Amino acid sequence: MDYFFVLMLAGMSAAMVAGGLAFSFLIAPHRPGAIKNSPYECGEPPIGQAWVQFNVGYYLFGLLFLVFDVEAAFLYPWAVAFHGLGFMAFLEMGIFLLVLILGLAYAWKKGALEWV
Amino acid sequence: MIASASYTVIFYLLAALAVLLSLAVVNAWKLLRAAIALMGVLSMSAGLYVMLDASFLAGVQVLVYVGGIVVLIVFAVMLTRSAELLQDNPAPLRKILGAIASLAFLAATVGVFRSSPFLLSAEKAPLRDNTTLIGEKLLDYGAGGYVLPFEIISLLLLIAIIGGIVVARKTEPQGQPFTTGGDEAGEAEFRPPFTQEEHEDELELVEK
Repeated sequence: MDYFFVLMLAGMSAAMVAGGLAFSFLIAPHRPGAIKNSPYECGEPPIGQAWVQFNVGYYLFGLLFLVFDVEAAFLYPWAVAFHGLGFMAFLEMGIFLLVLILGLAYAWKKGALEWV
Repeated sequence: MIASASYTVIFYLLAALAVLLSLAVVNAWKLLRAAIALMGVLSMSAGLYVMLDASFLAGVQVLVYVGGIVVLIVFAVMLTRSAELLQDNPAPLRKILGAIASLAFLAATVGVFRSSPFLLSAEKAPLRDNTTLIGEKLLDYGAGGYVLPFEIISLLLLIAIIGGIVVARKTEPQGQPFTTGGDEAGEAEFRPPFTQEEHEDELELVEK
């Protein structure tokens, strides 16, 4: 079963993260202080809560990312089946991508890609 | 093909983890912890899809749901005013209604499970790698192909982009491009975790 390796990779990466955390917890000295416990120890003193209201621009970027994420999901079956399909499959995917590039162009034109 | 016993063990492991992580999503006080647990729940269901030999669906689950939807949910919550969410203490009526709704959903789920015949598919295993099959069906322009729905998907995604931009652009306050905070009510009362004197004391300690 191919997925056994996925399981092994997941287990090993989880073990590495957990092992690193556990090891540093075991050997590191514990002398907490007010400054050490502050979120930005080596910079500005923190102001206000971490949970502030986000700018709507983040949501737009998230939305655009999600749309192209879904597009990428559709590229996989196309790419896997590409050898058995002819030139028409290439054209069909070209149209698919062109429509989405129109969306990207619209977002660009409307300034949704500008960092505000 | 995995042996039947280990198949069962892995299934129950994934199912139990999914249930535990779902409980963590509901009970987490911090939004980001709930989001990470939600990623775990969705990954476990991706594992269940793999066990059903639906490898493409599992890939989409990880790519779109774990990687995209959860991030979007977090952004959506972060966009709202969060102070009310933090001190959300539901009224007893809302708790009762919530319990009734949950029990009704449980009853509906159990009812569907009991009334479904759960037909086994005619073939014991998929003919071939189903990602290839999906690709061939999606791009087949002959009879029985799905090329028109495939192209319409791209139009649907285009509509999502345009709709999202139109809606989000409208709500943005004019002349105030970035909310850095600082002039919000309540932030004036914030005290840093240490005073300037303590800071200097600690710096001296570090120098020694």
